[in-house]
Amino acid sequence: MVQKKNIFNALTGEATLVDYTAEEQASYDDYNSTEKITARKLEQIKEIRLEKLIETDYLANSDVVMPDNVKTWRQTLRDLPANHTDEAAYDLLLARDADTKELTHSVWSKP
Amino acid sequence: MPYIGNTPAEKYAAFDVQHFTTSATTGYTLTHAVANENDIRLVINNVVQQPGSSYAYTASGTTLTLSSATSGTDTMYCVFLGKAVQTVNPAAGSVGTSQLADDAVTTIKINDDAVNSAKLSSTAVDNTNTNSTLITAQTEKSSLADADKFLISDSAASGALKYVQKSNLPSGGLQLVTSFTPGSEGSTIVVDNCFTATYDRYLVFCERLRNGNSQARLDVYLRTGGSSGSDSCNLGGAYLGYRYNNQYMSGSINPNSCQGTIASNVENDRWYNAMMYFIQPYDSAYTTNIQGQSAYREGSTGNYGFINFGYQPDNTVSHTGFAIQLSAGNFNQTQSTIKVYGIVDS
Repeated sequence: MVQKKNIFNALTGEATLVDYTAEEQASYDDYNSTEKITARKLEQIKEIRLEKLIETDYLANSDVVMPDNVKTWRQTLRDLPANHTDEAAYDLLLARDADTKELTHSVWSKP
Repeated sequence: MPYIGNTPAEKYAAFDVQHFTTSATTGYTLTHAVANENDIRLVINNVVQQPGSSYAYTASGTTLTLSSATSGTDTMYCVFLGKAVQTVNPAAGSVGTSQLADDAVTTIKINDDAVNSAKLSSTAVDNTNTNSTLITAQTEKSSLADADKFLISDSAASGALKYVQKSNLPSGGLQLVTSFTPGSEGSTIVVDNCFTATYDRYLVFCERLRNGNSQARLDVYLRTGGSSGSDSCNLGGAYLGYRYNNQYMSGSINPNSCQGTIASNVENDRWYNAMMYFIQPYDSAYTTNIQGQSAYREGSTGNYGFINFGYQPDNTVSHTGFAIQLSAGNFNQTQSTIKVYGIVDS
């Protein structure tokens, strides 16, 4: 579907609706291609993973002992891109509860 | 023959006589009002009648009442003995203030337009004497000229009425350049010809935006060329925000990118707003600057937050407009409004 631009001329007060140019449409389609969408989902997963890892970074300090289950969980987080490689898997990782908007995949739960 | 005193107003006046057409009645109407029955001499069938309520007749005003009814064959007339002579006018200039009773001059006695400003005291027209439609009944003027005047009460001169010219009114503030509601389609809203040499700084409100069917990023970019309008891909800058649950939102673009983000990932079917300042967008002697803020519900988390953003071209170009663009999907625009204000120094 061709995207459209609402162009308002403040001088005349005239509004016109025009199709995207071929170049604009190509840019739009590229941004919304499955490949780019999948890539952005992976980026989002990495951002969430980073936040989760930061939450337990303090356990890596020399004066604290990191429990083994936390070590295992952190390794699982690091391995997410390797173990989840398609858009369907990304969607499962990014799934959120409809009401609370909390992530629902068990991998995000700290042991 | 000469005489002393004023010339009589009327030199001769005959007694007035009224002949009646009689009938079998006791009531008749006089042609002149009288004080009482003694003001007339009534004659019936050539016999003078005795006045008084115990006698032949009474009279008051124009009502004549007989003690017994006449018949149609009777002849009857009366002579007005005490009738006021109506033809005598006071001599010119002879009626002074003392001859007039208080409140004797009624509205109808005053000629139209006869009360001029000389007859009004300086404080006669006050709040009580002004009509509430004094202003609203006048013709409206929708566009003010510099020479137009406003009536004021001068606080520095005991409230004296003075006027102020529109050209002398404080002029600082926001001047609406344009306001419009976009149509119901499209993923880009373009506003051309809103930046001119008139103002150096602009404030833009993008109100009640709503993404119809997709989570999307909202970007801004500049336009050049006025009515012909073309995109100006020359921005660089970044945004940084914060949302619920202690989460930052940030991003950046290289110099000479086409657009800068003003809302990073907006949830669809949610109202959101953005405001932006455009500094020196038109004057090609300076670099344009865009900075502003948006608040919205973030699409992936459903958390509310805001971002601040700042963008600037890497060159000096005269920009005549701007556009906001969704990265995906269309606006649900039926209630959105774009308002552009020019900022005027006070």
